Amino acid sequence: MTAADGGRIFLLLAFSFTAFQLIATIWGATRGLPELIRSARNAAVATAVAMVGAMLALLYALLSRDFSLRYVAETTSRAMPLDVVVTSLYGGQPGSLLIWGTVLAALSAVAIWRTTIRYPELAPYLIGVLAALQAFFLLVLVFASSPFEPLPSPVPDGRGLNPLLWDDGMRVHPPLLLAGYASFAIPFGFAMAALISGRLGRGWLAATRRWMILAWFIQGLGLLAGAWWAYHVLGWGGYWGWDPVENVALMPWLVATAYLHSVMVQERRGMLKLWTMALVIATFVLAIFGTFVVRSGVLSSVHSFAESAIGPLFFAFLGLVIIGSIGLFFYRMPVLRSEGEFDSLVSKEASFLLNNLLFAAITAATFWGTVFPVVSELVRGSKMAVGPPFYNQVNGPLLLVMLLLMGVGPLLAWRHTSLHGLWQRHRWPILTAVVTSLLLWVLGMRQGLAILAFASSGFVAATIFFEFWWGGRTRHANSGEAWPTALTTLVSRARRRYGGYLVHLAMVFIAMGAIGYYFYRDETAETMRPGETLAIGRYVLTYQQTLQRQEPGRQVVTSRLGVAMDGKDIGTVEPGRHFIQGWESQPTTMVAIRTTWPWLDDLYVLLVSSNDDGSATFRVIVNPLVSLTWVGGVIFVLGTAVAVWPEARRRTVPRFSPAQEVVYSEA
Amino acid sequence: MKPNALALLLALLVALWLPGALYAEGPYDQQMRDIAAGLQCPICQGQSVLDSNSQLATQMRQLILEKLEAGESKEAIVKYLIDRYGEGILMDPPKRGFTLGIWLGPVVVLVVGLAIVAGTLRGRLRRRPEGGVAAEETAGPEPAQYPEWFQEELAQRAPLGPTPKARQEGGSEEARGNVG
Repeated sequence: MTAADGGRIFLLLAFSFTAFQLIATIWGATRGLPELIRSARNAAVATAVAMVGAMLALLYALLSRDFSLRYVAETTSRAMPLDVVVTSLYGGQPGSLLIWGTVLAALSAVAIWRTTIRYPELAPYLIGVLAALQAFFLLVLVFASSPFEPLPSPVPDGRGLNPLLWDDGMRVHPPLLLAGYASFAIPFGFAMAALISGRLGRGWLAATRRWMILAWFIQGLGLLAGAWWAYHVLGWGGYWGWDPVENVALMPWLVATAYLHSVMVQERRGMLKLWTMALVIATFVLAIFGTFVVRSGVLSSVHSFAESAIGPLFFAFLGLVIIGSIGLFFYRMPVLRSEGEFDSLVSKEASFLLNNLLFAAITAATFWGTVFPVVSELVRGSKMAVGPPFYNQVNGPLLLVMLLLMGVGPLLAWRHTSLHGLWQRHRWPILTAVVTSLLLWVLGMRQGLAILAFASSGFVAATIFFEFWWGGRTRHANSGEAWPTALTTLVSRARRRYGGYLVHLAMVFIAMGAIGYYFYRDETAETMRPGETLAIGRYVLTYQQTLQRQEPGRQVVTSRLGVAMDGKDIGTVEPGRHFIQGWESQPTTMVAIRTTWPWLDDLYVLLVSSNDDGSATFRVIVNPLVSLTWVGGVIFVLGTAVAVWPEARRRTVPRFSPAQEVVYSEA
Repeated sequence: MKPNALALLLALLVALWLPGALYAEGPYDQQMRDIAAGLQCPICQGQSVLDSNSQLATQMRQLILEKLEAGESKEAIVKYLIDRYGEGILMDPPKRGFTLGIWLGPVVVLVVGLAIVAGTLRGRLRRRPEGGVAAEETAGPEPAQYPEWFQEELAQRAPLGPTPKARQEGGSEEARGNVG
């Protein structure tokens, strides 16, 4: 038996388990047989194990270069190093879908297991919904797009992946995004379970929120890793191009972010229930849309969509998910009444409402820009490009308003804040913003919008700083704790609050990177001979020499340039190009990036071509502040960790008595 | 004019001044880059003619440069390329005709969204009895009272919150929000 046979068996097993899971849970729930529900729960675990088995089988087939399989032949070649072959797991459609399904199965198993313990009333419905989603992916994997499909006859060597994908970054961001997309299914599962069962109390909300944070975190990491990869490997000088594939990954994350804010209003005031539910549904629909767009090619052209085997399948699935969830949504609408009312326009609730409006608008604009080329092709028959200018002009101002709101919202009280209180808490941050603007003006910055954007960043950073400062100081004064202890206690007493602030701080850093990149990016290109120089901004680059060397499987050309900043020598940069065997016509660039201190400019140097006469053409870009984006990424991870870190040995206090929930289901 | 045009000019001057600077930046390169940055590379998704390393993009950059050197204006060159590759080549869809739709979409969403939010707020605020706000006002505290405020806020949370004992111990938001 080959690994491929094993893989096929694992997939069939997983499919049977899932089918059993679905039938058992429906049967068990309608007949009131807890044994069957338990059995369905076990089937979910068995599915996860079988899926992992299938994935390992595919990995083995890839590593052993089993060229009798179509997938292996398409995504690997003998020339590919072994550590690169691992990335072939998701180098094509069937493999990616297999990972999607495996992540879904694994997370489902964990979610189902925990739910049977914590909310047994919700469990049968959750098991059913997740089984239905899993069944779709298994249907596709077994019948439409199997990674274990054999070739009519084995080939001696495979095609292999494009060398652009032979990179460390490739090992990180695609699996993260796939896992992110898949994990949005769990909060959706809880929401659907709550809608079907009518148990729309606080139980599902807590579970949904927890899983949504996880999915949001994974997707966020995937987006950051993707940006990092684009910047450091793709070599076009930027990190975010509003490309369709990027957009569809961003949209569920945006909606999930909106959800994480609106859910606070629901938890706290019992308002916005319908809206919160709509956001959970929208997140998952966008996650499916993202998977579907990346994998079916619908956005590259309507025609490639029709040719794609899974396009119509995914389209049908998407339709079913939308119709099913919206149907349930309207069915339960009367139960999702608001318990609280808005008291004031100057309140946390109102700021969250504005926050959600902004997220919704940015998502809608991004969606519209992403699908417009297809609409154009359908209506006029000609494709229409929608490039970064559209997104910058539409999303830019919205993001700026969002940034400002990030400074105001967290300091507002629930229900109502007096204008006096507002001023009390904002006078220092406002002063910070004013000082920032003046300083930038004095430093010679003259672009109003850029100054406004930087001042807003300073404003938000200051509000976050003062939140920690005031809290820590009072704690320090009242309890006599030393500053570090006082801050730690403060944070540990309200992890969600302070973790959230840290994530906000991360967004400020990312915003500053984007502002620097958008307003002050500068570039030039020049062909030089050794000894010649090129000047850009405060930098002068001197071309020294170009070296060629042969490495196994590839030829590497590197050029060395000396860099001087403000007339002072600060070292060298070495951009280069790889010519990989069999892919000589598509050399990959090795970008040289040098972050300078204290200006935080990224000196981004590309070797465009090197000529026989010793001259070489370089493209040099100065990207101010982009390095802050990655600092923001690290803070994003820290902040999320603080927010979700489990309490040490906390007692589980059952908050939701079944009796309380029955009221909802009968309402 | 871009803020660093001066730097570029300087670079240009330095380059021109250098003896034997055969490959120095040409006088039209900056203009070429401006034009190329606004055009979508027809064969590579999402990249501009300037950023793309594809052969076609390279040829297009060359073509733009040649036309600039021949004295053609930016508008004429862009029009020539639109005639050849279609309007789809523009990175920035024109704000007229069919492509106006793309610009109107987000505006409509924003206006409708604002209307819904405003409607929600107004409806709910109006239903409130006179003077209700003052009675229920929980104005935020002075910074000095922050920890007390937090404790109070936490204590006010859901009637289903933990026992008073846990509350005294300062059970955090997390402990209560985190049952899932």
